[in-house]
Amino acid sequence: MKKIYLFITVVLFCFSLNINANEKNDFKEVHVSVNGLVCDFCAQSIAKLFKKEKAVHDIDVDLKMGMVTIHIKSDAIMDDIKITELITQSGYSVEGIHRVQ
Amino acid sequence: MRFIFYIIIFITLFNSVSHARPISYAGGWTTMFMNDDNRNKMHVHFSPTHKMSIGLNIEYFHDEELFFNSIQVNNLLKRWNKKKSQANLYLKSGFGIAYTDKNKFDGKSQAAGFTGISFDWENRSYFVKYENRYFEAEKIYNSFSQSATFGVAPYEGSYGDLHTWLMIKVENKPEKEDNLTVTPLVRLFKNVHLFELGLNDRGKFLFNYVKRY
Repeated sequence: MKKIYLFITVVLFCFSLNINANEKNDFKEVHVSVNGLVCDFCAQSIAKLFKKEKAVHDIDVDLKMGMVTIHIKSDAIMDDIKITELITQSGYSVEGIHRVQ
Repeated sequence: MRFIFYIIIFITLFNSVSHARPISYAGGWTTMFMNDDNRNKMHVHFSPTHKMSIGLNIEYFHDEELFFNSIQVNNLLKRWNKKKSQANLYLKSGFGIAYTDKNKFDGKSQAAGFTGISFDWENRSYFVKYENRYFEAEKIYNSFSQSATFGVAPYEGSYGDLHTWLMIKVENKPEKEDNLTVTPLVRLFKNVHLFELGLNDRGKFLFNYVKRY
């Protein structure tokens, strides 16, 4: 009986590791270098606009580096034109876009 | 009068629709509540684009015992987005109805309006702002005012942190006998909430609150 419990525990543990691994692979990262990104209160607008997009899982803002990191769902697409449009609508300008492979 | 004041506070704090800036992101709502020695003001606005906002403006001028309700339009004339800084030039204008209870004008209403420019520049450590405004309610009250604000951030917070600014605001109203007011203030903001608390050289408080939706 103990062996069965041990076996089930090991299987469940491996399964959960697999789920976590899949979750990490579920998103694509896009780094956007943004000009004018100096104020936290104003930068909230970037989060508001990007989180309205179905393709976006989450975003991170680095005020020190002037960088916005967009986590895009693996099965979704967001092209550079759309990213530039959303950054512009937030009141900022895009300096460069880098996609993490 | 007190009842209306409480309504303004209530709407500001619990308004379900909505930066210190007069324009938000495209599609964004903002509620601003400003309260100082001279006036109480509530401004709720919607930004159809990142270059323009339109909204409702309600003001009460203490000395003149004057209410002013207007539609306010803010335009971003120019923005300078740099790697480590941002600067903005705005035109703010409003048109509506002024109403006063004061002495000889008891119960008088009249069309009124204002216009002015605002310029600000900031990086993560320093903030500078200048703005002016000309207000006219022809037979009741006309005024020109201007102010300059300088701010320093004691630390550079990360995104989502509580941010703190120590500021000093100098206001000039040429028409008044005592025409210069100096207000040291603290600005705090976190996420979509911004608070300012100050005490001017006459011992009067300043309290501003802004929320973005």
